[in-house]
Amino acid sequence: MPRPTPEVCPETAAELVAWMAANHAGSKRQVRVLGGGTSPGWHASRDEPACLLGTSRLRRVVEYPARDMTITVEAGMTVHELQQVLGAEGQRLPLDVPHSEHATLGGVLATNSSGSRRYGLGTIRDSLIGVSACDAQGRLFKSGGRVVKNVAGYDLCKMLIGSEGTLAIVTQVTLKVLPRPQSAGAVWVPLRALVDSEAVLSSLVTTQTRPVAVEVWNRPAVNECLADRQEVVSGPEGFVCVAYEGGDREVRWQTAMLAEELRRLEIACEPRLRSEAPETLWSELNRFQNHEPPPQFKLSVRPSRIVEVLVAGTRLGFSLATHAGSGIGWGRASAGLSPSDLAERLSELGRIVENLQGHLRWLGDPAVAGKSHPSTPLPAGTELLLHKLKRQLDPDGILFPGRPANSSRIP
Amino acid sequence: MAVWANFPPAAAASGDPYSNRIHCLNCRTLDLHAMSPPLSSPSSSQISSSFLQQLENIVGQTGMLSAREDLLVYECDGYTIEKNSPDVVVFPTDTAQVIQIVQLCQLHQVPFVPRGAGTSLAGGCLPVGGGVLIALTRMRRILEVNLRDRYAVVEPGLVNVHLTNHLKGTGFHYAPDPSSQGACTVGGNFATNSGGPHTLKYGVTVNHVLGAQVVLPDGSVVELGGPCEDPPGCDLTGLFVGNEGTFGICTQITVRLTRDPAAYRTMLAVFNSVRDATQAISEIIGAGIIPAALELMDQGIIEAVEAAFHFGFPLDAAAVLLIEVDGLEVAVDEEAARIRDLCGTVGAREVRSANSPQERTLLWKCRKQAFGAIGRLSPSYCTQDGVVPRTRLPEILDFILETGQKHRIRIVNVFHAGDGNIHPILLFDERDADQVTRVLAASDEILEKCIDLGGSVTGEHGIGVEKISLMNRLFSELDLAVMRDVRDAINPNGLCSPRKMLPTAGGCGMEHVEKTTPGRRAAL
Repeated sequence: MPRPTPEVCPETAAELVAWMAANHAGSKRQVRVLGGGTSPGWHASRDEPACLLGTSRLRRVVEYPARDMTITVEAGMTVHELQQVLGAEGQRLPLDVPHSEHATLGGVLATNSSGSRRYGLGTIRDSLIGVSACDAQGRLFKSGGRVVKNVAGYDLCKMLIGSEGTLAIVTQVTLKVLPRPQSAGAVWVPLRALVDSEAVLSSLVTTQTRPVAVEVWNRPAVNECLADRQEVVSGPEGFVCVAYEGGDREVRWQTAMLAEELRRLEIACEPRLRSEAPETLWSELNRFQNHEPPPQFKLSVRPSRIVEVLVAGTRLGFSLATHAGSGIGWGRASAGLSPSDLAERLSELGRIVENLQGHLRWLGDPAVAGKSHPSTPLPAGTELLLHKLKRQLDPDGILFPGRPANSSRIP
Repeated sequence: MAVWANFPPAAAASGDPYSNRIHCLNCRTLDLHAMSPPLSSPSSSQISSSFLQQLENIVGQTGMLSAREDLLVYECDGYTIEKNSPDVVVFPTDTAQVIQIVQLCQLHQVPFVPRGAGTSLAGGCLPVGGGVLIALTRMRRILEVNLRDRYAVVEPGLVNVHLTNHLKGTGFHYAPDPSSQGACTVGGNFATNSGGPHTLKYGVTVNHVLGAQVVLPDGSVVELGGPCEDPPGCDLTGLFVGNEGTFGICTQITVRLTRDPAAYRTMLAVFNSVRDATQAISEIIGAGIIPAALELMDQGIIEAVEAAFHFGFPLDAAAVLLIEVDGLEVAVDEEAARIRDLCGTVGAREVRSANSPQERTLLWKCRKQAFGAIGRLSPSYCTQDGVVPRTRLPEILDFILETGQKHRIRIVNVFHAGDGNIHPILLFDERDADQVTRVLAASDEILEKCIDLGGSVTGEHGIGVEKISLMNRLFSELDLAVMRDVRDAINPNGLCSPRKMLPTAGGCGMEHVEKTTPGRRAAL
């Protein structure tokens, strides 16, 4: 995807703050923040008159007391670069995100991005302990701190997670880090029928193992993104993959134990154990989110309902890759579907998801999905609260115009 | 022990809870009236009999208390230095009643404050402005347990340990385990973002809250988050955790349930010096091991705990570390062995293991009830809740020792060492005014030192009213202005939990209710 060129690209946080303050005092131009430009939804809302402000030059390590297992870096640093820095000390940020070579920490925070290992590792909210950000008025503020436990003041770190650049521009983050695990392994269950995955998923409630990722993909998703591996990992209707990481012994014991547990279930397919380089495994499981073209929608239901959604979505012709343990799914329509056909099918999937009290968000081009875009609206109370926060922090509507209070509704 | 009330009885009787003076260390003595934001200060005359009647219509006669003697229990939480009686306490039993109470308070411009079990340690549920105290202890049902989707929905007044007890045998538990978990409520944990020993590995309350139903300060209801992950919009659930009651009344909470560990190894490492023990902590964390819990108790605490529970602690040890690793059976032994080696490297005298579940339970009982045993050491005590980067523990412990010597105050320590969250306990006799002054000076110096070392003044107890004066040391004016903006968006007229967490705008930041005694604190 072509990366847009930012109009303003500050060298330091102070420069960014000065620019924002001058903008607020002067022309009050609208501002869109650009991190790595990897979020599938970012490109969907176009606000041509807004000034594009890039954070890519803010990429310094501010402080890395490795033995405290925390790190403070500027928000324009990419996740990959951060992992390299941490890797030199045998540590890592326990966060799995797509496009990690380009995705910036500020962008990950603003979009609450995560990948397959969110089941075991959590999301950015579980690692973020401090943040500095600049609001639309040019006020540089911080929240949290650099210690792992801290309840002083409101947790504005959380407020900024998923705020998509509408409330403030993140300039710096402090993160808790963990030791890098030795190895990884997975059990793949090829599926003759998607519905068989439910037996596997339910059995995980009492498994003796502790998975870090639980994935279910349908066959179209495999064909698109794992074509080179389909004979190994997938059955006619897709696969379940349960993955582990940790010490060598732990991983070996867990994959063997799960395979044994699954053999006791009466499903038709034999589980396959594979031990491979961790990077290979995780990159395979993130291929759907890393794929070009990017996913067109994201959905979330309770984990116990994800198989219903997979079955319905497959019937409607969508490729679906789900973090089934967390109830999160990513999807794409097959090429060649007419816009009206797509809109109709998306609406049906959206209805199914909403009937399960879940939500769906369309991330693709709003024009494609037509006027009746299928994103689940925010609950009224939440939307009102978000508008109040937006009014208080950005009364002039400078940040991310067209997406007030990060409403899920595409403008 | 005498009950100390810092609000003169006359002021309380006059019904003017704002008559307390506050003392600004830098400049002058101020009156809260003078610097208050526009908030109608309540008085008994404003709590009219018709207002009380309307409250009674909502909660019934058995759902409220308003006689002066009945209100005494509610004049403070575990932070007993500052006290103020509410005008009335109500005990709603469902969300609908909470909505009506909040709407009534708004209509009459009467302040209101939520309260759980009152075990908090920073005055978070102190009714500074008098008014209506909304006690949530009768809303204590477990509404739903869903193991397949790993969540439970509970009411805020549910006692923390009751949820874990309810889950026994399912293979799941609720991970946050503050030492007061036998009394504190899940709603109180939500409001203060409580910690506990096992948060070292499993995270604090916010890491286990998926959603909440909240009656906002304007009386409207909002459903934040829920069992479906990644709800659209920003992480409002996370923002609401730790709001210390200033964002409304939480009426339902959806919490994450955690699988029980398959195996534990619980150890007790014995040291001849506190410095060796803190060095061991530093080595363990520095080696990349995250135990499930890593707690330090020094000699003073060992003495008190041994007298109370007879575990068999070595009374001549300078410090012990209570270390627990958990996980898979195949992994715990290796981790425990590495920890033993590291403790040996820094000079541990011995490392004992809990040999049975009973021994493990007793060890944890000793730790969690350590504060209850302090009464054996002195008539009064005061504890602080500072945090430092974990590698700075040796420095802060040395500083605490020196500070105690300098002010001639005995200080003992029991704390969440693995998180760098210290709890120095200052022992004194509150009948001796000079000791009281020295305790206050020592406390302030320790917290200032935590800030200087790159830490914080509270790891889990909260700001409440106790640490408001330190907020300006920790945060800049801009930080606080943005926090105020956020509060104003949610709680615009400040009627909900007035004067908590943030210093009053326009004050010099050094104001706090004048402390005359640090008092005795409740369990940690």
